[in-house]
Amino acid sequence: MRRGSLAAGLIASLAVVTALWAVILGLGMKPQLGLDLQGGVSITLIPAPGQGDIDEAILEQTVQVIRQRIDALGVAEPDIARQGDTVLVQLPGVADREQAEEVIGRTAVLQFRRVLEVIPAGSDTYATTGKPCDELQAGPPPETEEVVLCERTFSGEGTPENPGYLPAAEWTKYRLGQVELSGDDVTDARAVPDPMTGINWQVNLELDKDGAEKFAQVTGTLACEPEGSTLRQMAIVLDGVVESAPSMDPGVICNQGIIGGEAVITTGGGADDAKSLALVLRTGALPIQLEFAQSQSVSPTLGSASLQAGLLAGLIGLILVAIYMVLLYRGLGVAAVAELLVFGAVVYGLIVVLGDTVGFTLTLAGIAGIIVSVGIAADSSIIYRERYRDEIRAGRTIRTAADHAFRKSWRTNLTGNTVSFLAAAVLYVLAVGPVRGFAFTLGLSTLIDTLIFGTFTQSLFGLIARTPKLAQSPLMGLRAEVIAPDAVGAGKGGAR
Amino acid sequence: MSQSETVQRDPARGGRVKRFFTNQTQYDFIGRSRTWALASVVLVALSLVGVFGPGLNFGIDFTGGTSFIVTGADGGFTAADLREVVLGTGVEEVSAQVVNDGEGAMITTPSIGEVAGEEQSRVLDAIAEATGVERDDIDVSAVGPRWGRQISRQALEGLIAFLVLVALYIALRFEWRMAVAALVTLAHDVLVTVGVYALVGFQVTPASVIALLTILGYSLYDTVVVFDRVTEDTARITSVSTRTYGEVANTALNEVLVRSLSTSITSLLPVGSLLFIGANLLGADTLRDLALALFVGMAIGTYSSIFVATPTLVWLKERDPKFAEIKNKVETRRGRKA
Repeated sequence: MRRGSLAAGLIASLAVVTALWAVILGLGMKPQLGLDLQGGVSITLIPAPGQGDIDEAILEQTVQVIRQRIDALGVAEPDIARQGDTVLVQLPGVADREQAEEVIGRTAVLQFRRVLEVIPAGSDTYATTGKPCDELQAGPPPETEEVVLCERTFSGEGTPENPGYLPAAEWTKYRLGQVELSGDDVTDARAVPDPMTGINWQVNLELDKDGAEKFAQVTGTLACEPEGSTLRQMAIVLDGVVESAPSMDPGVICNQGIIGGEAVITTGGGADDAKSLALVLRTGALPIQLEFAQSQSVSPTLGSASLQAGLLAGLIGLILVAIYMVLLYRGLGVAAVAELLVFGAVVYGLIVVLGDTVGFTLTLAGIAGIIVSVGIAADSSIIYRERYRDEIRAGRTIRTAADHAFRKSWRTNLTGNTVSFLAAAVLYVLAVGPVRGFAFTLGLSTLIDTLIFGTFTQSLFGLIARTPKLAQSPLMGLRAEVIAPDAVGAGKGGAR
Repeated sequence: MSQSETVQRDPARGGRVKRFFTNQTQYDFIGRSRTWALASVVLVALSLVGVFGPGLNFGIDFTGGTSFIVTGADGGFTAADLREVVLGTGVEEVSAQVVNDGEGAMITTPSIGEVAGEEQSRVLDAIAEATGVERDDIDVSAVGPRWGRQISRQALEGLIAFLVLVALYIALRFEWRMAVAALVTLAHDVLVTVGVYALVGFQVTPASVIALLTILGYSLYDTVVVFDRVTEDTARITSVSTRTYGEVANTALNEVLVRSLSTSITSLLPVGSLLFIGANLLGADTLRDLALALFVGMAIGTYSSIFVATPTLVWLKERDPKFAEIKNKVETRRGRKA
């Protein structure tokens, strides 16, 4: 490689690092800290045993319900994620673990209630009727009393795939009668295209024997109300939220109702509306019982102590490694320390940027991953330098030795780092919780190590070898006399 | 270092350490491989005794259980006091630990009722009263028994997937014999690390499992770096070669010796500082457990990449007719000379 292109490589890699940090400092980015570092409550839920195969869609709806409750709890930036059948709930900054456990732990209840009054946002009595819609429900709504509940209301601005909802404070309120039917009475609910037209979608609701009787009775009563009246409506409530409030079809006969335990709910919308309503009904009918697999609370003081300890350990480790490198390789060791610093700046910088952009959270395990990666980065520098010494012992000049050593150690670096990266990737894909954070930082560090080795390290070493003043200085540790006093001019490894 | 030393040309005056670090040593690893094999067999045997004798000490994340961490207390209680009050709530087994003259404490129990259940709440009350700390300020970590089984299974699946991938990679990148030798080395490292855990009685936590998987990666990385050099050097062996595969591999080992040691030192320095700092900090168990397992595992990984991996490879290789023949020729020729 020519001197010019090496210099360009060095400048380019430094420019990238500078740009990275200019963006971070300019935008005031901060790493996103995990719960173990900033304090908070972390809860892991798994389906209770004996439920057979878990229905994906119902589990997703169950998680949705948990999300709603946590939103109502007013937690800033909650993280509710599902990995397979495992549900991970992370509530940063939450101090009251027991409240969080209570809110998350209860099972969603499905209720059918008569609509007594509809109170849209903005009407005179809206503020005075019931509780504000963005307030947390304390447990399922009482069964035998009149209640005021809110309907998840479309904003009318969403797309079909992602219907936008109004903020909860503006949802429509419903005054509702006592519970007529519950989730126990429902056996199944499926969304199907309208068999007559084939265009509109509908939900076919199936009830058990007991449910069928209750349903016939209540629909019979509803059908006697005048057409167009809200009193003809029946609200479907999941976990205290009105999901839908269909009105009785004019064809339903007064005092007879819908008989046979099967009903059709037309949503008026397309497949998405019908499917989501069917899912709400199934979630209430066949709820997935989740149990706490793990629950942990970390106080903010404990969190920041851990963060400091982790950072301090990393710093001390880095300093010790730097001392060792300089003792072993002199000037080349100083260059190795520069490589480590660039490596550290890029890894930490990327973690900050990823935290700010895609929400990657840095946990204690992640910090451990970074600390381990210091060893990996140092090894790349060591392999290069040992290779260089081998080449010098074989009688090469400083310049050609540096170039040969780079080519050979580059191949070793690629092979070795492939194995490390495989390890990290497998860990990331298969693990849950803290292990993932560790695997992510380890994998990221491995990639960056290879990247820096090919750019910064190569350029720096190459330039030093091409600068006679530096290369000839005994302090730099490049000259043959320094590395292999007895082997100057002799072949490698001695005679055999 | 002074000028007079840097121009020194007599290796005998260079001192052992300097000679070692400037790679002027020729240790016979392969020739003495029987001795090292014996050492490894003893290590593995001891490990097996440990695993089947005392067994592993699994932490609450595997067995299920609850730990309570008290911080910011004013002291005035001992570990025995805490044990007593917790036992008083009907819990059958308790371990307690008080740090920094009663400023903090950690109490661990096996599974008590359901996670986040009533029993847990009662214990919490008892601890709050005994330590004088607000109930809400006590950090609780509770793990249900099924969760432990689930994460153990996941770790095992991860391990198998990783081994298959790595074996494939090495077989493709180098050759199948190296893949076999690498797996043998890996099995050795895992067994001995687990053995150390069983014999010393360190607690096995999810962090130790993470560490174990990292060790596998690290040990393989080390092995691969050594094999890379062995492949490069042995590529020059032809049917008229004067040196056997084992001898060339031994030279390759000597060539990477400084690198192996330096890498181990630079890897162990940060892990060591993690271990040291984590040891004095409550709740940073993740750091400490991780560092401990890494410390043990990395040391074993370095040993095995030199004393297990390459000797195994040479043993396999010299059963390959091509290299067996070369070895035969070389030995006959030397026999005639002698």
